[in-house]
Amino acid sequence: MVNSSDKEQSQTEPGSVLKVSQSDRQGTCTVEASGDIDLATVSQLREVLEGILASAKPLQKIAVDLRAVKFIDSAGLALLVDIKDRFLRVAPLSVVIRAGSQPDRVMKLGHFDRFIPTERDEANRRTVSMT
Amino acid sequence: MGGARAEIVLTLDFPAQAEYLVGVRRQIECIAKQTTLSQVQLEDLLTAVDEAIANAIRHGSPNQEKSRISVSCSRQPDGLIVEVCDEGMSSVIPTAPTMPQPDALGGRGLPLMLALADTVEITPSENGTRVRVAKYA
Repeated sequence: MVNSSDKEQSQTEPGSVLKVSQSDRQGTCTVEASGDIDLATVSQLREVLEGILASAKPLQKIAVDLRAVKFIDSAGLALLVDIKDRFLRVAPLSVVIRAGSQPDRVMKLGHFDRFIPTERDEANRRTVSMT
Repeated sequence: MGGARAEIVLTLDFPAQAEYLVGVRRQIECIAKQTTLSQVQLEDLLTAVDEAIANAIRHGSPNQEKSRISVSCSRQPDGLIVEVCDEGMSSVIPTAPTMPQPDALGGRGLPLMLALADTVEITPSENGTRVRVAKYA
């Protein structure tokens, strides 16, 4: 039975919740993302990564730091697959994630640990209640 | 698991546009936090629902961004059931796919849903497709 007093009818509003920044240091380019990577926001991360590819700058390493990413879906995983192959010609690409986070679990389900060099930040492992 | 005392606590209706995904996730998260689901279970549910809505946007919206998607949440004593309805006219019920190879560009949406939810039911009809995702504590 539906309790009408407890039922909520909502109109949701569109939004964007991803921030992406880039820094270069001693041949290593680090792209740091924070927030949610989904079908709507993945283009923001793609734009930054495409910009690095287009710059043709000599690099030794590219690190995609996802430790501050709280959520990633299959659209984000597809971007990592696409970009990893294309960065092969530029520099090795690796991913940094926070151990125990949603991205950590989703990337394990997709067997990304066998595909993209992945550093799992255990020092800041996310611990959550299992109740 | 999943008793009969379902209580609809949230209904959403929005255009088939990806920009709405985050708002939908946030609202379902608020509801899920009122259940006995753990944080990990809650995140698994949100991921499965996100994939269901993304599929609705990509494959179940014949009028592109003018199509509508509706989402409803039913709270149960031991979990949450989320239904996603689109305007897709497909009469095909997809078989349970396995996770593609890591280097595959696509094909992860449904495998992720199946891996992260406790049950996923897909019901096509002439009015659209309904995907029912359930997660229990």
